Amino acid sequence: MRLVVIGVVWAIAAVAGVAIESDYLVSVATAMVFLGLWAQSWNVLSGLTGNISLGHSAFVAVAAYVTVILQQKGLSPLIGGVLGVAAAVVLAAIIGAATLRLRGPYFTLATLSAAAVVLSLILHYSDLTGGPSGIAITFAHDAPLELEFTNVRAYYLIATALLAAVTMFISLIRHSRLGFYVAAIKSSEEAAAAAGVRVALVKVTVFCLSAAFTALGGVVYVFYIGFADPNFLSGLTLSIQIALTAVVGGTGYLVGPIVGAIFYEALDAAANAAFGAAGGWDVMILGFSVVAIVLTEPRGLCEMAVRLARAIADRVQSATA
Amino acid sequence: MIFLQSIVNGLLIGGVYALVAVGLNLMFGVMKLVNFAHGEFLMAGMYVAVWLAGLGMLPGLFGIYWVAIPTMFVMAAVGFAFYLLLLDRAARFGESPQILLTIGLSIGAQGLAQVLRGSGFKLVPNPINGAAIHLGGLNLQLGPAVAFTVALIVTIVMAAVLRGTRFGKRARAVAESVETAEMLGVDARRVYLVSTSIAIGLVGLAGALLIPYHYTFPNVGQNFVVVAFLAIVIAGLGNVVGAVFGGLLMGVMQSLTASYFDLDLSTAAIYVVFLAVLLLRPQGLFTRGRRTL
Repeated sequence: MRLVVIGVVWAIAAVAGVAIESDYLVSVATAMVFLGLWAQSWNVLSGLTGNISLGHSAFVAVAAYVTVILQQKGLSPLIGGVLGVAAAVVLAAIIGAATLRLRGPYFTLATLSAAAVVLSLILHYSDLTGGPSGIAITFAHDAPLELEFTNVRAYYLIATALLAAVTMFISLIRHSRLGFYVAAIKSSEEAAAAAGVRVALVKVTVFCLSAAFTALGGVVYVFYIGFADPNFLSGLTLSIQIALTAVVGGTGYLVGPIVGAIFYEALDAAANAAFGAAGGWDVMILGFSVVAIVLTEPRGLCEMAVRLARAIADRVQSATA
Repeated sequence: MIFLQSIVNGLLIGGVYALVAVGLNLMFGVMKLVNFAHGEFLMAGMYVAVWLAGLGMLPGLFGIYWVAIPTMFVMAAVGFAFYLLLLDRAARFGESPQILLTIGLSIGAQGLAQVLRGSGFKLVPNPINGAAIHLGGLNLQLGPAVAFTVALIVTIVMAAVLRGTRFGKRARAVAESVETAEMLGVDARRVYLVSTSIAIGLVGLAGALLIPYHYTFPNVGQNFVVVAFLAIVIAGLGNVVGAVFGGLLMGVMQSLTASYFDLDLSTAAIYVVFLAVLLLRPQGLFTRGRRTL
């Protein structure tokens, strides 16, 4: 049932994206979808386990760079992308295994540092990566097998399809054996281990899944933007943005990260329209709205909406009774 | 000689890291909170100090340093408000919301600085910038040397405050166990309030010591705070005096790797050391057992 709903929503979003004439609106919508995809992927790890990762940009960057570098050497991104995602999963397995015992701020700082190592390696090996100036992808014609489209709507469609697929996958995981294991681990690692859950294996698996989904977004994103920019792709700013998006929407809900992405990009577009993109207004409003949300309802916008709906339903009920 | 000079440079850079790290670790020690907005308080301190220095400077080589004490008190007041308005309210939600609150505040404050002061780099012309003393073939940059000296004084004062004063004893009791301390009549929230004010005051002081030789801009805090995070984990989270050595160590490591390897890799080297400490000795290098503060 859930899968059908996700499919229908995806179909509507896809048709709407193609039907919209304004390129600007499509670019805002595409940004929403990528951010939603990354926040949704982040939530697989951090929402399910409760440990906040500030290193997810590393998976975006590794997958994007592997794909782009192989593409420059003549390999189709459809194959290169698979290798890029695989590289991100290997990285995630290493980080995941290393940070198994860490919780709270220790986990957050460890993931942040791992991403910083990835960034400085990308900057250092400039023969391969172009260093701080990055790699530009140039093309003039449509080549679907090369992930090259002159119409940006193609990337929007691919990204929405990925987001829908990842969301379906997560909704399946939640009610699977793995989902129950993770829920058990979140409430108490010791109790879960005592009940026979292989805690280490489950935690590393969840980390790898989260990285794989994030990396998929990275592969498509870099071709959409047409430029591998190290400071964006593997920067702390992107990691923070991904985490905050998921939290603002609500980590406890399947649609939470997507709601967060819509909120974030809509605010961003509104702030840019009102004050111009250069002034810092967008960052300020987003940052302080996170503060406001944490202080009023730390479980996020979805929780607020649910509470509001309940309050209205109660009113209606007591009025009719 | 290059070796000695690198060590000296590193120690001097490390002075500011130490001042940033001390407050960060005081807050972690008593509140178990990693303040991800700490760098933005450094940035705010720098803007306050630049504004004060723009009003006028005392005569003489060290004339710009009059801004240090007023900046420290302004930022301590900011810290006071930060605890009462934000941290105190978020405390009841637990650990993750507190981390997220400080992350949100961090990027919000960067945006605010850009809105109010623009994204340009600011530096008040002053005689400290570029000045150096020569000591037996070694070259000591004057600005970092002052910051380093102040960092050492602050460490000694902080160590004395934590050992000898009533606040220090209460803070150590709260760091050990909030429940027990409260049972014995310690008002934990007051300890939190004072600790936050001290921590933000110290990071403001660090900002004032930076402005003679370092540009001020909205994201300036990030460079310092990430290194300070690493310093406090390496020293041991919550170990206030250890944080100073952690900060100095980070400066020396950065300087040595930059001299002998490559500047990009110097960042990577620091993180690798940090990850190794985090994984192999999570209580930190300078902390024995579970003792904190």
